[in-house]
Amino acid sequence: MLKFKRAQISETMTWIVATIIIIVSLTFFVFLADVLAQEGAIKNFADKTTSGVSFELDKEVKAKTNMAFELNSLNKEKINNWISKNEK
Amino acid sequence: MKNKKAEQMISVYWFVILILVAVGIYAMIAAYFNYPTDVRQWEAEVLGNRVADCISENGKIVQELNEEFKSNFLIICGLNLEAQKLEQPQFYIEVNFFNVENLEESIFNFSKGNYAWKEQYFLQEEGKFQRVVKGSEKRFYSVDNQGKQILVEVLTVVRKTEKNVKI
Repeated sequence: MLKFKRAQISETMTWIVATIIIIVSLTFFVFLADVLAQEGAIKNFADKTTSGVSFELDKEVKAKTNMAFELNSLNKEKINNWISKNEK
Repeated sequence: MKNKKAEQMISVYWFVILILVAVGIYAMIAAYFNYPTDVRQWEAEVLGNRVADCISENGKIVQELNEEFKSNFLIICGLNLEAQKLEQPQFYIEVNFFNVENLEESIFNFSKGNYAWKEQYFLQEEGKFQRVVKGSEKRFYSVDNQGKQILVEVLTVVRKTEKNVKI
């Protein structure tokens, strides 16, 4: 009878510990998802994509300048310097 | 009989754990997707390009730089800054034209939208209010119909903070 009771206590303890582990790990992952969303993954993704898109979109404006140089290429260096001052 | 009761307890326990895990997964997904992706930088870039396209085509200034263009710029360029019907304009556009001989003083300029966003944009360069607005500055060279060299500077700023940033 005593042996049976000890076994029961040990099994109950196992389940309690298992439940605590599940709750703690779930809380950790919820917190991690929140932090990643706030600071890490999305921000970095957006920055990478933004610089990529900006580069592509800048090409359109650069094409305008290049076409204008074909019409009149005087002061080329001065104009290029003025444009490049804007590029970060 | 005792075994049956114990089995019942275990299945209730499993049911509770199942719900707990499901709620946990839901909370993780909700937490991750609760933060909107900030697309204002792209909006500002695209708007800047639209303005540049309206002003210059194939390296030539295609608009008459006069008061009529200044006051009807949005209509001529087919832009609507109030399409989303928000309380106040969420955009700012400023265009400056320079003569190649004098790059300090613009020969023609105009602006549309809310001037406050320009101030906010330049405050960001000092490291303040990083998430309030996003902007784009573009510079290009064009030739007018008399062959004069004109340099164009386009500044576009987008606010729309509520839609793009979790406050």
